[in-house]
Amino acid sequence: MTNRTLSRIALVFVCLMLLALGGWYLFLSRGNTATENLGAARGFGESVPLFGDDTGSTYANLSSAPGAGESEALGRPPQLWRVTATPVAGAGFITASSTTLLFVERSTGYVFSVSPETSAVKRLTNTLFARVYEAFVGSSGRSTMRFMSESGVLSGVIGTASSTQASANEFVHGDLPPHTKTLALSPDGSEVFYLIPDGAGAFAGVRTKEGEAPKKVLSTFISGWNAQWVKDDGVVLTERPASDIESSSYVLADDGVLTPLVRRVEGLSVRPDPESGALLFSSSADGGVSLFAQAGSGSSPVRLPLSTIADKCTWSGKAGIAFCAVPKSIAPGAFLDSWLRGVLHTEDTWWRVDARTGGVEELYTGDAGATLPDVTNPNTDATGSYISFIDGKTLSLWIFRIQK
Amino acid sequence: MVNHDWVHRSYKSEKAPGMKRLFLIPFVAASLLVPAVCAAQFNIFTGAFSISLTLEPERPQAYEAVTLRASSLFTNLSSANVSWYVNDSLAASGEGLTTFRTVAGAPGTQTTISVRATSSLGGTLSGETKIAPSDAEIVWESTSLVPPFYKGRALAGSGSIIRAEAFVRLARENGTPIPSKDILYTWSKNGSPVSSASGRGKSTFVTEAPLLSSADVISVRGASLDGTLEAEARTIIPATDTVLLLYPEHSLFGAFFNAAIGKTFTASNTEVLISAFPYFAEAAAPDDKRISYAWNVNGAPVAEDPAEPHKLILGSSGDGVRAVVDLSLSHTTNWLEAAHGLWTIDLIPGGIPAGDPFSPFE
Repeated sequence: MTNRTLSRIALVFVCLMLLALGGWYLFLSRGNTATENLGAARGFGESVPLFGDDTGSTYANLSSAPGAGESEALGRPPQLWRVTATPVAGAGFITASSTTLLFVERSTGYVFSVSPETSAVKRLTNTLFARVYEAFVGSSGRSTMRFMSESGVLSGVIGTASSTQASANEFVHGDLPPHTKTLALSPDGSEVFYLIPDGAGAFAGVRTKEGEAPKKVLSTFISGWNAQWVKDDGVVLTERPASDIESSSYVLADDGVLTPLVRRVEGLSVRPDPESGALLFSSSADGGVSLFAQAGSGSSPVRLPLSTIADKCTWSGKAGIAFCAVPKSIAPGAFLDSWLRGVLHTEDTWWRVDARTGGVEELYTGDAGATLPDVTNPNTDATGSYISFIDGKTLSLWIFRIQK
Repeated sequence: MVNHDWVHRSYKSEKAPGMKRLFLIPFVAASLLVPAVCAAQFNIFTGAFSISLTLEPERPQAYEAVTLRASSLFTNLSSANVSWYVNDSLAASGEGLTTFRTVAGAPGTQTTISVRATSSLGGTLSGETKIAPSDAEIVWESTSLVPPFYKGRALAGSGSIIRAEAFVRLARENGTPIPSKDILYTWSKNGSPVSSASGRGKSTFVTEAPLLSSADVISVRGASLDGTLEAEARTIIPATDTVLLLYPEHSLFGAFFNAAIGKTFTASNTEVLISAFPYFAEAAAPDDKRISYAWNVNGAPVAEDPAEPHKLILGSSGDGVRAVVDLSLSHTTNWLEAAHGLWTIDLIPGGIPAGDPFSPFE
């Protein structure tokens, strides 16, 4: 065998080896990619969740909203902004140097603050309350939370989350009485009203001011009241509604006297203006929904050209001016019943309402093709510039900036 | 000789006392009655003939429109100049203005309506009445089952108990409200008085829910102890069937009572926990031992969990799965309590999806 032949054989062998190695490399590379993808989907390679950081591991892991998991400001959010994708239990604007919204995470009871101007989110508390179904936030930051145990026992707490601490802190709180049937927090958070069993089948309405002993202000045979707070006037109690069933609403004075506010309206919801005597109320009856405005007590109500319920309205802070979320469409039927039971959800546009004149003005209809949220629990900030609300379908938190 | 004239005159004299009595009695009676009749028209203190006022409705409710009509037996008001006053403030005036409309005030208030008329002969007539709207409502609820934090009414499901409370507002002439303990309540159900529930201060009423597809009319009359003031209210309570709904439940968030599962539902998970809730059932909780749940998935019965019979876990092995869930509900002691539902639930397979992995929604 000549040297030339040997050289050729060696060359061919090397080429074949190179080809084999190249093929083996490609085979291994594809396998790694698949493994890496699977690992990433399982969360491998992600940084270890930190319970001690500003936003907390739960929020960071679960939220998919823009800017979520970040505590730094990301700039001005869009006019209609979904703050969180995860369910919240309640929210409210607080009095601060700049507009600040506090919200309570449903799964943990953690309190967060968010700036609707800069989109910065910050966790304020690290006290765990599992499965908070309902939360109210007063302008002072004092908040209530109500939750339900595995065995169905209702309990709650009331406390304050400080927005000035550098890092998340304990939620300093006291316990609310168990088995509360309804609860309302005053706008500034200094006082709470709740209804509790009082023995012999009766129920007591109790008002408690911060730092004072509870005071019984009402004795009633009925537990099914919805409570709202009206500045200076006290508490408005509305008989829990049902479509086509009459309900009445009353103002509960300090001396326990119930004065009628609205009487015998089918499917009644009310939204009294805490600043003036104006009132919005709605009726769900005969397959439809009607909204009425009343400029003051003793004034005749005026039917508004909007098909929505008072639950979707919030007062602006300027006397007689309110903002209402109006469903794009309402299917015929017992709307209120279906909506309260979560059977149907709406896509809502925003309108400005003047209760003094009955005038309405369209503010926001959303981008073409966009799915609008189902507005529940709307709240306006003190400047009347922002509205926070919770989407009825997903319980996510949203902020609507009234001016573009 | 008989003096016939004397006899005639004597006869007349003897006859005169009986005849006098015959005419005297009616005359005296009329003399007494006429002033009595006229008393309503003639004010002996002012010397002015008064005016009768009638209200329509006779017992106006708060904020209700009221029509007052003036009439007089002694003058034709249609040719008189009539002035109407509300709490001493002139409200309307005109010739022949015998009808006046106003609105009753708030419950517990009192409005004085007075009228003065000057006849063509120059005489002045007047009349006055007070509108003190008495007011009443009945608020009610049922002991039927609704979720905690539910903002709607617990309606009258079969077997439940109706609890009602009357709010009656009566005010004395000086405007002082009469407390509930000083009001006589008379309760009626479908027109029949319920004496056991009626009485002084008895402002509450308890009764069974109406049967099947019927409705009960509950009414109450509240009256002052002297019977001079009263107000009535009535309400209709329809029977309501059990409404059976399914809700997704999550270990972190609890049951999502805000988002009922529709007839078709897609879950982006390999496993989902669903919770049944029977609205208006005769039960203290959804896991009440008196309620029986018969689960059936894709035609096969599923044994209920004794601890949580109202819950069901659906899972897939990794491939896509469609679960046709059939649920029947019955009550161990109330044969009228029954409900049924059918749902189609799709579970999307394949690992952890993008976005919020914990969301049970599409």
